[in-house]
This record gives sequence, C-alpha cells and structure tokens, in this order.
Amino acid sequence: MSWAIGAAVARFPDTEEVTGSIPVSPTRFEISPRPSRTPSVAAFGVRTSRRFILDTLESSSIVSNMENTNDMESGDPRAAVADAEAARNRLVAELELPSFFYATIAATITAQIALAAAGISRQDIQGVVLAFVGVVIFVGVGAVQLNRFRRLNGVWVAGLLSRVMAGAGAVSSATYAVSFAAATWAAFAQQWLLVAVAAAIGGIAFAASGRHWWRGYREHPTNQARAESGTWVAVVASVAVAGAVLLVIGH
Amino acid sequence: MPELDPHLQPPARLRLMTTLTAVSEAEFSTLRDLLSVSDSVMSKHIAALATLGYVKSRKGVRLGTRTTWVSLTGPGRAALTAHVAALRELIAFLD
Repeated sequence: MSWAIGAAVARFPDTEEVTGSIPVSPTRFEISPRPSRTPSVAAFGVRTSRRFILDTLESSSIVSNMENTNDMESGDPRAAVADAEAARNRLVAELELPSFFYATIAATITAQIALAAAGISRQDIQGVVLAFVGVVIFVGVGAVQLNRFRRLNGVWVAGLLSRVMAGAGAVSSATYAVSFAAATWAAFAQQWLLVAVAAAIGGIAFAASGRHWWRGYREHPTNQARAESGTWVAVVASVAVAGAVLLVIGH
Repeated sequence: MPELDPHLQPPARLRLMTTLTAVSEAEFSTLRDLLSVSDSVMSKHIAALATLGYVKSRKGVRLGTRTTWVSLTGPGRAALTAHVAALRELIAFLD
C-alpha cells in the first residue's frame, strides 16, 4: 500500500505527534533490531569540506531525523551532544536528598556500632539479639530514606545504596571497620563512654564519606551512578564478618 | 571507527539515553517533564528503544500511581557510547 507524504519539512506525525482517528502515512521506515549502516566519520575522508559533511548528513536523514522539539535548530552535532548533556546535567542538578538524610545515616550507624559492640562483648544470646537490633534499625532507616529519595525525585541511583547506605566505598569501609573495632574493644573493657565516642566517630565519618560520594556524583554522574561490583561488596562483607569473628575469638 | 547510530539521531532519543546514563532507573513522568515532550512522544521513543534492546521498562508505583520505570541496558549504553564517540569525532573534524 502506498502512502502520500505531503510534508515539505521533516515532521513525523505517525511517530511523534498526536493525531485523530484517521491514520497518517508513515514517514520513516520501521526500526529493525539490527541498525542499518550509516556513514562513519572516516567515510567522509580527510579532504572533505565542512559543507559537504553537513550536506551528506542532511541527505542521509541524520539531520532531518533530529525532529520532535523546537530546540534543535540545526543538524550541528555539537548542538546534539551539548543538548543531551545539558538534559542529563539538569536532571542531576535537580535531584534532592530527603531531609535529615546524612543526620539519620550518622545516627543509625552510631547506634548500630554501639549496639553491635555491646552485644559482642556480652558473649551470650542477648548480645546477639542486641547486635541484630542494631542492624535492623540501620536497614529500616536506610530503606525509608532511599524510598523517600525515589519518591521525591522519580529516579533511582544504585550508587546511593551501595556507596552511601551500605558504605561500599574504601573510606567508609575503613572508617567503619576502625570505629567498630575500637568500640568493641572499649565494650570488652567496660569503657562505655569510649564505646559511645568510637561509635559516634564511625557514624559521622560514614555519613561524611557518603556526602563526599554524592558531591562527586553530581559532578560526574555517569561515572558514579552505578553500584559497586558484586565482587567488591562480597569482599567488604567478608572482611567485616571476619573482623567481627576475630574480635570475639580474641577475647 | 565509531559509526553514527540511526536510532539515536533524533535529539529526544539522544537526550533520553544520555539522561539515563546518570541514573539507574527513571520514572516516566520525570523523563517526560525533563525532556519537555508529550506522553505519546515519550512513549513512542521508549517503545522504539526498548524494541532495539537499548532500554528496558517495567511497571511500578510512584506516589500511589501506577507508572513506568525506564533504565538503560548494557547494549544501549554501548550503542550510546559509540554514537557519541562518532559525533565527537565529527565535531573534531568540523573544527
């Protein structure tokens, strides 16, 4: 079946615009799962003029396919790249963290370290329950804050879970481990003030590390958005568990 | 030598794909508002990119409303990287 196409300029009513009940004629070919070959940059040759390249792009629909919105005035590839990056940067700039985000992270990590240290020092079932309660508090508060972030912004950033909440970054892992070890030692020595101080330092350092990651993400979102690799998380978790076991065995 | 991907040449698609590199997943209305396009335009771009395997979408809930969450796939990320590399090469040549 043939269709008449009357548009003198590049418009795509069948794919880009809302139409009535009468079907409009297709203005482009169907998308095939295998992309067709398009001109590579090398195909233009080194002695080709700028005008020739732009004309070639125009005739091969590279320019005319840049349809849909009014903000693309020409087929300039610079404008295409700059426009796309501006959209990405605008999204990242508009992202907001829920209120008291870092404060709740610091507080729950402090509580978790203190409860775990106290629980390990008891060396009984009640101690295990105490340590478990600390983990539950941290996971619960973290889940609430991440859910608030998702609802607030309409996006999900996996790095926020792994780097800010789970502390998979090197700095947050190291500061957590040192603080946890110090708090546990102090708990075995019945130095409860020291337990509180070590736990608070650990919580604050953990939150500060998360804040540092968030700033880096806003500057380079593409590099930071994804979560840590499963291998790295497994290594950190293994070291943490081994450290806790060694602390118990050592006493 | 990187090649231009004909499926990423519409600016709205390039913007959509580039935006998705910054997040793990984005909700439909967030993307629609950011790119200043209508629901139907956004739906068609997402459907076309999903057919190619460049993005994946899933149904979810946000603020009590059923909505669609969109994320970039590995092949989509690779295609975008190659396309942007070709564009940058072209820019360098034009300069």
